[in-house]
Amino acid sequence: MLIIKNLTAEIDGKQILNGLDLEIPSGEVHAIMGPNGAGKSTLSYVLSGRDGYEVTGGSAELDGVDLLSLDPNERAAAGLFLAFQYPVEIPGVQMTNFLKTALNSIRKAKGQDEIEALDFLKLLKAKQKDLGIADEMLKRAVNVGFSGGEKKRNEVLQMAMLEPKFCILDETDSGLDIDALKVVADGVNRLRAKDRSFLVITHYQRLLDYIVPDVVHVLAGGKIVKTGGPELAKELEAKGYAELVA
Amino acid sequence: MQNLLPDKIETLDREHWKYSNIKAALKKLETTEAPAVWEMTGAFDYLVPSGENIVHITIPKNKQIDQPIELTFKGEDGKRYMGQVVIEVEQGASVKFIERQTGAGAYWKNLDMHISVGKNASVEFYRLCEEDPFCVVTEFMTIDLERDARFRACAINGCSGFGRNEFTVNINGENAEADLSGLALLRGKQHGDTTVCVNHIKPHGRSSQFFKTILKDQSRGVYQGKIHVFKDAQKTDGYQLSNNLLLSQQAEMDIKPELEIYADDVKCSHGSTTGELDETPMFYLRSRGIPEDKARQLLIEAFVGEVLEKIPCECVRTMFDERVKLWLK
Repeated sequence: MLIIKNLTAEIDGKQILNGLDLEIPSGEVHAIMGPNGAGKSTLSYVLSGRDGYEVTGGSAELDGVDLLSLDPNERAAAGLFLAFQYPVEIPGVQMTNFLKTALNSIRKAKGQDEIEALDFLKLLKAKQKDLGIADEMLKRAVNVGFSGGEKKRNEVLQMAMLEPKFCILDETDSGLDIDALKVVADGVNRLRAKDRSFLVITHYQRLLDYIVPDVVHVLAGGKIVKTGGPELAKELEAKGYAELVA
Repeated sequence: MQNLLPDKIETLDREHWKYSNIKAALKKLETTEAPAVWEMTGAFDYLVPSGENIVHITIPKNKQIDQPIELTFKGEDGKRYMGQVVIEVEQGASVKFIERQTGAGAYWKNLDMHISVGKNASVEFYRLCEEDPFCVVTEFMTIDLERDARFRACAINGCSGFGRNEFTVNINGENAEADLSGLALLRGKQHGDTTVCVNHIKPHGRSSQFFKTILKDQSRGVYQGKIHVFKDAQKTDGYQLSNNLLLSQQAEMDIKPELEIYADDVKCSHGSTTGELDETPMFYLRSRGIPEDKARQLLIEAFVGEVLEKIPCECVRTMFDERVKLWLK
């Protein structure tokens, strides 16, 4: 379970999060919607520990572990996963090597042995098949030369391989056509589990037709201003944010 | 020996040596003259007897040699070496060389290397410098290319206290091609200078310069790259790129790209970057659970990988890769 209490954070001295409270029980999918500049991406970077995002108050705990005191890699080992809005291209770092290094780093942090080469390949084969990822793609450098859809499928592949407890999907729908969106959403839905929760950050209701949330929050001015069921997303789509933010 | 000699140091072209103070580097050394001795493997059939300190190798017409010829030059403490290697690759021949510079102590090796590549001949030249951090190594390579000749070089330079690796390529025949790449690995107070000049004298020539430097501690790197296109050298395609990675606040990199073009129908480009490791890929790797040290290692290996993957000869690529991994540790 993720518990965020009264979280405040700033970038370059400018306050972006203003006392944000959020609880996401295990097994649930929550969506956060909000206008531009509401603090959606800031929330995802603050939780994952990116440099330059300074937490000035409050707390964030995942199953009792204080996330904010950990390095980004330690947060990943604690079960946090951020699917990037813009997955990063890393020339010269080959996909398979990257996935294996990531998986083994997390296993090591948990006190487990490194995965056997053959077991790793078996695991990878099974996961890539679900997402329609060709072998050829895994021979390339991380995200280099990937289409928009391939990059997002690659994010879901990493999620499937690393088996986190809590996943943030930062505007996963951006840059995707409807077919690519379905593939990605199917991949995410397959990962829904009792012991795993999701925070889906999005501008548009469209994504939530495919990844149906249990709870929808509206983020504006750096805090949650409204919480409801999936119908809230439809209401927002119809009326816009103006009414709520005012 | 046409290149750098002790008595010429006083009259060095200052502009050309602006970033590399060879005089100061040599002042620190106390050396006595010693004959240059090259250990060679695979070259016996092609060696031509010559004077002291001079090695002549001739690869006869149309001869194809797959196994690389290795030239090793070992330096000893307190010695000064003046050596010359003259390689003549005749028309249609094909050959690979590996030059290894090794040694221990404080010494100065001053080498003049001349390679002429005949019509439609092909040369791959790999230089691996694993020197002692107190030595001075200056090496001047002149490569003359005839019509349709191909020359490819990759130089891994690391560990000499003060190093200057100079390439002068003359495209003397039409449709000749030179592909130069290299990696300088510097740490401590090392000084590594790569200076390149490609002279496009005849038309339809292609040349590429792709050099990278990694700098740790208080090391200093220099890259001077020039593409000189003569009036007759129409349809020349010249390319130059220098990427440098600073792993310390105290390290310094000086870059001087130069294009001098007198022909009006050519394609030439140059570019350079110098900076620290990018934060964005670093964060991406760490967000996947990879600790900072390991993420840094992956990104540095990726940086050097771009040079190593350009080496077509697998045995050399593996050897260079091992050498670089050792340095990165």
